Amino acid sequence: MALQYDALSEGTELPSEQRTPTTDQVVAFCNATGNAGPQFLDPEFAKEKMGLPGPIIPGNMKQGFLDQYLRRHFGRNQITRLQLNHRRPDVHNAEMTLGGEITRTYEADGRRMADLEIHIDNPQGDRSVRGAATIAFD
Amino acid sequence: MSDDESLITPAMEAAIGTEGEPREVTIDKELILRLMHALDEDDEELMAAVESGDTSYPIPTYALLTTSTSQRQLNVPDAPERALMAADAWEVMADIHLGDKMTIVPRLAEIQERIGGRVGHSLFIHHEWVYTNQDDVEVARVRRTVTHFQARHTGE
Repeated sequence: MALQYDALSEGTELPSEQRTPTTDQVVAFCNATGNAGPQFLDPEFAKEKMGLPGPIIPGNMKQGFLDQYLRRHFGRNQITRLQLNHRRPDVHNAEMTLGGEITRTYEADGRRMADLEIHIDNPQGDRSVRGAATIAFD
Repeated sequence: MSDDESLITPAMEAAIGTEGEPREVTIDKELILRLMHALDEDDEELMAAVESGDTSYPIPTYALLTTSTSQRQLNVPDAPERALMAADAWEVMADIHLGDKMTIVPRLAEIQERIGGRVGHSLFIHHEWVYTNQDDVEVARVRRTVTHFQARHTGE
């Protein structure tokens, strides 16, 4: 059931959620979005040319996961802002932990709004994505 | 090039603020379904709406990711070849539906230089796109920061 505005306050934490995107999923994502950068798909390019630990998860794919995560908690209420800072690469087949916390609730232009801090942590517990979002409640 | 020599060239400076040609794209049901599959979408109501081709059902913002081939970054002259996305900011003002015809206008917004960090001496190039639908409603604004760097990434 979607979280309701009246149940939210500063510091309300969203339950965390785990995602482990596979190489097949990354290939499918790159095909659907037309974004087939070799850093996402080619192990040799990712390691030798870029210095990455392996092929990485596209930043936009992590955006898609966070979009889903927010909709799971806020239902059909509109996500009006989604900001992500990509701090570390995430690699294929590694568990990512998605989380979030309410930072502010308020009214603006006649709508009830909530701001959140959102993030993704890698299996080592390092924050690979740090971001923010705003939800507008109907 | 020494490390304290600026990576920002005159050609790069001249490119700041330029807009690209508008691109038109339709929010395509088949691409949305493929994207939902890739993301392991489990929202059954959403899946049913998309599979039935319901053009009145608001679909997630991530639908705009299927327009990536038209949301190309403008070419930045002299930018180092190695590049990774550093940040993305999406502001969404209106609902998105299957079949929407979007006009996308790209712009090279800003270039900043940074010395140090995981990729050493680098450029932060800020791209912007404005999405407008067939009713001339501004649907979304996207600002993306891409880091261009010369040295290999530290891997961390």
